[in-house]
Amino acid sequence: MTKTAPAGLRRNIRKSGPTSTTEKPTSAQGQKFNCSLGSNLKVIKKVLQNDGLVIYRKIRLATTPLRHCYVIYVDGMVNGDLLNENILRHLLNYDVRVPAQVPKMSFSDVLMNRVLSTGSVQKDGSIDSAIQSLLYGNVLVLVDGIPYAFVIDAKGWEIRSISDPETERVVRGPREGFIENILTNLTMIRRKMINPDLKMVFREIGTRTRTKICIVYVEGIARPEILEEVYRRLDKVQLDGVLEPEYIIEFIRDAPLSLFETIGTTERPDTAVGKLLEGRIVIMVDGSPFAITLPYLFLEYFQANKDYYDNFFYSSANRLLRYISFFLTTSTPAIYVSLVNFHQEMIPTRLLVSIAAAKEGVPFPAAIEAFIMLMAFQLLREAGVRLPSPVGQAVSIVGALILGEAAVTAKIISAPMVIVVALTGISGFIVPEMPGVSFFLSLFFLFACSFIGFFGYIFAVIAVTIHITSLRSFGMSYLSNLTSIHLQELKDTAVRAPWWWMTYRPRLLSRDKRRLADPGRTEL
Amino acid sequence: MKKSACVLLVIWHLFVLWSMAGCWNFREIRDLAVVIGASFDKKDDQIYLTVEVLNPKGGEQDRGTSGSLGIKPQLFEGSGKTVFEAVRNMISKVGRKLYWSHARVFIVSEDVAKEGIIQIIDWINRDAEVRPQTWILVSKGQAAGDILRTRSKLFDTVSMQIDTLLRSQGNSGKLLAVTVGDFMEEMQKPGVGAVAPTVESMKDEREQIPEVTGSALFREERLVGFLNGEETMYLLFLRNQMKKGTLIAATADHPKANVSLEVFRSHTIKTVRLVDDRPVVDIWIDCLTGIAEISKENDVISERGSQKLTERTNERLQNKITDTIKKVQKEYGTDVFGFGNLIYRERPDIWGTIPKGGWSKVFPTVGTNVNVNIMLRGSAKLSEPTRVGE
Repeated sequence: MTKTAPAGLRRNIRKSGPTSTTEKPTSAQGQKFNCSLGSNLKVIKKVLQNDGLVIYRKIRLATTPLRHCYVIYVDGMVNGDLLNENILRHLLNYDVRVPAQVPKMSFSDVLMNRVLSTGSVQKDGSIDSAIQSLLYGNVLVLVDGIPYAFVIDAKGWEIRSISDPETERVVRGPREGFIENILTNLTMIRRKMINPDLKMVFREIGTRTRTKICIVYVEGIARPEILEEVYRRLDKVQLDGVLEPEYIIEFIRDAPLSLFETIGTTERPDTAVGKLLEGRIVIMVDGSPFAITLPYLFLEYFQANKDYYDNFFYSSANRLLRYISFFLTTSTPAIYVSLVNFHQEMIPTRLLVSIAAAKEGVPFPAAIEAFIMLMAFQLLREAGVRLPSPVGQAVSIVGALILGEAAVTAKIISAPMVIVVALTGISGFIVPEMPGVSFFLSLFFLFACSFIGFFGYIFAVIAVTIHITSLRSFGMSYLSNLTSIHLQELKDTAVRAPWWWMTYRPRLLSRDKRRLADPGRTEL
Repeated sequence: MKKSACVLLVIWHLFVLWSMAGCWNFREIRDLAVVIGASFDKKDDQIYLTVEVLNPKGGEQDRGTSGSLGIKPQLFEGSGKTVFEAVRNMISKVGRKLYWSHARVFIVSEDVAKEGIIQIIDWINRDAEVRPQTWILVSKGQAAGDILRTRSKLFDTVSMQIDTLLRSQGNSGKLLAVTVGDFMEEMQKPGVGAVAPTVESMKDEREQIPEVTGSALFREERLVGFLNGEETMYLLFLRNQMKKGTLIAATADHPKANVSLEVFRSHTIKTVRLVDDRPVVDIWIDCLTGIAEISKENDVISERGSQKLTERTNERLQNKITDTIKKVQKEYGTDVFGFGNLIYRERPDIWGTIPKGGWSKVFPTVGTNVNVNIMLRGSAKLSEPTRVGE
């Protein structure tokens, strides 16, 4: 199935070793296998003390002089058929003496070449790394008189089946999403790009969890400087456990205190491959269906994979809708509060009267009302996400009824404010990648507006713009596409140009800039 | 560490800067009394102010009867030595601060206008809240407050009715709607007399309703006279303000049979020349019309008939316009047609010979030469005059 990259792996182990000191040192740090089966076994058993899942199977080999071997594996993590048919049965039945015709062949060669008929068999002299492989689901075979272990790849455990990704559903486009198993995920990427330029470099991160991560890139498109920077930053991650990409993202991202994401994630293999083809780098993390993509630019909040699968007019319209909804979700409460509290002359007279009638008897100023409702909306959203779906529905119905209807009838909240907050909330869902950003921005703008109306709004927008402009993601300016003066750059920004017109990849992102081999229909 | 301190500092500064503003100009909607219209009267050196205030509370109870907002306007009266004092005195009666940005109409009584309108209009133009886009009207023969006391049948308030009416005044062609800003501009321009529409309260069935008709003419800041609706139409022609969709009645063959023409487009060109050291203004009016109504079985459709119709209409319109000019020149002596401004712009040499402030003496002597050219386009849905069967 897979071959781990031993170089990177070992380096990591060496580095992480001394830092993970515990009170009772049980690790076989730096120890090598020796020729005595008994002493090797003793070390392993000592290290794996109290681990009930490890199974030791002793086999007497049919050889002279008499030798024993141990097959060691973790219950439930190996493929049972493979273990029984190709390892145990062969070891039990085969004559493993060195054949007379080839006297030069050593005993271990015989085992490797004639007996152990599985895809990957490796020799490992270090007890530490052998145990590491064992715990990752490999089978260890220790043989009397051989100073190393055979590491046999027979991994096989229960995994979730590939399903429609929950977070990025599309009407049209591939239906598969990443799952928790890194190997399955990588095959999904590989199946979409059958090209030797697609490189996958494994690493381990997490001094305790030793999570496998895989850096995926397309050689010739991805820029080596960015790749180097990624390696450099990954080297610095000194976390003991990595359960989700966010653990790594927060270590390696630019502007770690910024609200805005400078590293993206995706749950879809097609999106990941799309980003790879633009020259981006994808990092898969074992145990999570989310892949890291970087560099991540501001524009990517508004680019959805379905934009590229639909007709480009429709896609462009959808993209504009997303920009508008970003404006709405961040600014509606702020603008409403400014209008109602500071700039009444800007409201049409009839609307003013309606609002005034609705606000008659409501005790709070508009800013407080907006704050209460935004909070209530967030409460409902969070409650709905956490609860199982039948209960979640009940919560949202009760919430909507109480907040929307009863609060207005009871004159706690005015009716226009319910509309404003509903608009804010719904627009927020149109750009789903930035829920945190839009919520905090709307609060920030609201805060600014509640003091000085539109002046506050303008100042706040300027502050946010300055901040966004100053951001970088792995050397790329965060707004690089949006602020570009090159026509080619703008073809995939506010609109999505037809594929035959997008001759070039993002200019600063990729090394090989040409996307269309033959520019036949490129120029209109 | 240093960086996070920086970030904290920025956040702190933002917070402080914003809170320093201290909700400057903060106004809750419910604390405002939204003024939709106001009228100004004068009695014994006191300015009497009547304001029409929108009352959302009263509306809530009546809601649901029709498509309107169901607002019941409330009238408040107050007085003071100046307009501003009257406005501020009003607060003690209304209880809320009067909010003027949504005011639609200001009605000035004839008496105040005769005394001089600057005492009213300066405050309107100077105050930050009041918009110069508000309509200004003169109440004819009545106290201005009485106009606001009439009842609008279709609209929520009288002011809204007058506002809607003045907005669509192009359809009647007998109104000259003027905003406070335009009025001020006209008043300050050399060689133009300002004009404002007049409003009266009329009895319709049992109720008093407001009626906007005709216009009030100003010399400098004082009201000097009125023009009725028809004369206002000629005034519109002369000012090149005739809009689309206006009706003119014109007689045709039969002495008592009328043909109505609908004006689609009209354009007026004025030039000035000197005849015996006396300025003469030539006026060319090009008017594109269509037949809207033929009240008698007669032929105005055929080439001969329509030619006759346009000739008669041209002649009639020329006479009427000349009469109106003469009337204004003789009776009121205010240059509402903008002849003086025309000379000022096109012949500064002539303007220079007139002594400063002497235009009002020259104006009655200005000669005019009116040329009307009516063009007929189509005859609405029917191509023939309606004929009676044998």
